[in-house]
Amino acid sequence: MTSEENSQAMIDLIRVSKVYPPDIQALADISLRVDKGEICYLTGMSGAGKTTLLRMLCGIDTPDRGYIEVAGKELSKLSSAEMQDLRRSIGVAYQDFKLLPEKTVAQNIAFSMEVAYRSRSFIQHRTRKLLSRLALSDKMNTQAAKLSRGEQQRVAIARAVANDPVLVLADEPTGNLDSDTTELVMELFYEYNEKGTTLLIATHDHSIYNYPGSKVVTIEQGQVIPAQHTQENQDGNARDENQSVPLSSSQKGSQERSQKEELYQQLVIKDGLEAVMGKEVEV
Amino acid sequence: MKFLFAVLSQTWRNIIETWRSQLLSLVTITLSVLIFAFFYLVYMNALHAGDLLNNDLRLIVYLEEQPDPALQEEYRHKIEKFDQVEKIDFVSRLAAYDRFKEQLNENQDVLQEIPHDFLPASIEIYPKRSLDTLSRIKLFSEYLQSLPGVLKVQYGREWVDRFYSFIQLLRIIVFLSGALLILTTSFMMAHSIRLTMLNRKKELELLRLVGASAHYIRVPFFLEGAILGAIGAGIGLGALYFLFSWIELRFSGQGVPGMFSFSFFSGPSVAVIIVLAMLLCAGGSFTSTRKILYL
Ligand SMILES: Nc1ncnc2c1ncn2[C@@H]1O[C@H](COP(=O)(O)OP(=O)(O)OP(=O)(O)O)[C@@H](O)[C@H]1O
Ligand SMILES: [Mg+2]
Repeated sequence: MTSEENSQAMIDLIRVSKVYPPDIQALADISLRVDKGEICYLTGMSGAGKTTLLRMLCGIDTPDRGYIEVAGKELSKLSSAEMQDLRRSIGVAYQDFKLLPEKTVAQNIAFSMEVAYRSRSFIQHRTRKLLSRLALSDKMNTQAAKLSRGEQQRVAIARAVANDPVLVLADEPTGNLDSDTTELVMELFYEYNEKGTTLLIATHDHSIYNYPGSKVVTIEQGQVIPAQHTQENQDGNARDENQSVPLSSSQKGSQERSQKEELYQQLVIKDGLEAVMGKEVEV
Repeated sequence: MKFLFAVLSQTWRNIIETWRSQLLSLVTITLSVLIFAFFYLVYMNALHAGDLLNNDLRLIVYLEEQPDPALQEEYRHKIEKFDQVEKIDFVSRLAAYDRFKEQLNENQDVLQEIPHDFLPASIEIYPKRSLDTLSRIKLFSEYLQSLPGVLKVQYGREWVDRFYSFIQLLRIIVFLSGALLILTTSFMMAHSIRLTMLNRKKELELLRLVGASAHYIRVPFFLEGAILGAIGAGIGLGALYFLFSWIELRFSGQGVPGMFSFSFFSGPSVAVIIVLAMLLCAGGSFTSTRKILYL
């Protein structure tokens, strides 16, 4: 990989694995590259490892094996202070929101800006703007605990984008939203993307990943399913839209890898069946 | 600058939110400072009284012979070999006679028949005014007694010994209450900050997640500790001053010897005690926030 390519990548994962005790393989040798300014949708069944992947990217969790680079920084090499610097430039909307229930909506949103030493007027202005964009203006001083799940979700999204991050990681950002509100959220995301923010959105929501030029990555049991596979199975019209985005070398690489991985998986399944049935099985 | 502002407003918010739970630590700090400052004040004043008493403190060495200047030099040399002294006076037989005569006033005539050199020559030694001198005065007198040509050594043995043990006792008490101050304030602070941190665990974790630097999180706790320390020490010293003024008012003009006139801490001492308490509290809270770094 040349350094020019390197500087293009916002996220670069190479053969990352994570096993949770006792032996849950949340990520299995996964490789993924998201370029700067891209919108990448991460889909896959529940339990596929989407959240785990996002956790690795913002350094909440560390992989057992593999290389992770975010915004040009190799995560395993960062000191604690450097990790904090990086986190200030990444906005994360967590699947479980991680709001402070006893604080108000405005206070929750201010959090991500305060740690970056934004001025009080900036924080106020930005909070107002985001709340009106997300149809929450009247909830500004409501305690987060008193909001509905959909409202909490939007507050989490507002907090994620408030500090003008270079990268937004959104975990199931529209999970609790109706289609109109989903549109509000996606419009906000697109607007940030047009200003240069890279988006990685984990979602089950088929309706949101039709945006032209975006990349859809499906993971299953901690591994990336090849790109064409995804488009054939889930989204017929994604093919021609994707023509503007040429397959990157790592995507091609991941196609080659996935063939090997399929074999490997078959072996794993065989092992598993044998363990359950107590005798040899033909696969 | 931005950092300072952010940290100050965060500290302010913390205090507003948690001052109730900090009341107990505040009381503890106040009491510790009060106890320590009380004994320290007594100690300081005892030292001061000791200084005044020291004015009268001198060793008188009576000599067999009147020393000639060469011998005087030799005595001076030997005395200074043992200890630095404030002043050494040689009193000749005649000078002693004159002094005695003066003391007799109208009864001077009893001296008429007596030869002018009937009193022995002596050396008057004024030791340096310090506690060390008090503790070593006995040794000093034994040393002087062992010098050649010395008849007898005199000093106010009784009170010196007693005063010295009193000062020693005070010193131990001050030391103990100082240790108590250090332990209670720093541990109390560490403990209460740890409680606060437990209460706000979610918030602190979230701060880490959105990229707050360690300093951004820790410095407000540090400042909170320092502020509590300052308030606690301020109240403690204030209470002591109140007590002090009350005692002074009660006993002034009741014939308490001037020697024992009490004085309060000087401005700098007050500042030192407050700064000490602030550092202890800040230090205590700083140690409990160390594990924030691992969130
Ligand atoms: N802390 C953990 N300890 C043990 N197992 C875990 C832990 N976190 C995740 N897992 C397991 O790892 C696998 C992947 O989980 P993950 O949360 O990444 O899935 P997901 O793709 O986000 O699913 P969903 O769409 O339901 O959010 C799951 O089997 C999950 O049970
Ligand atoms: Mg998830």
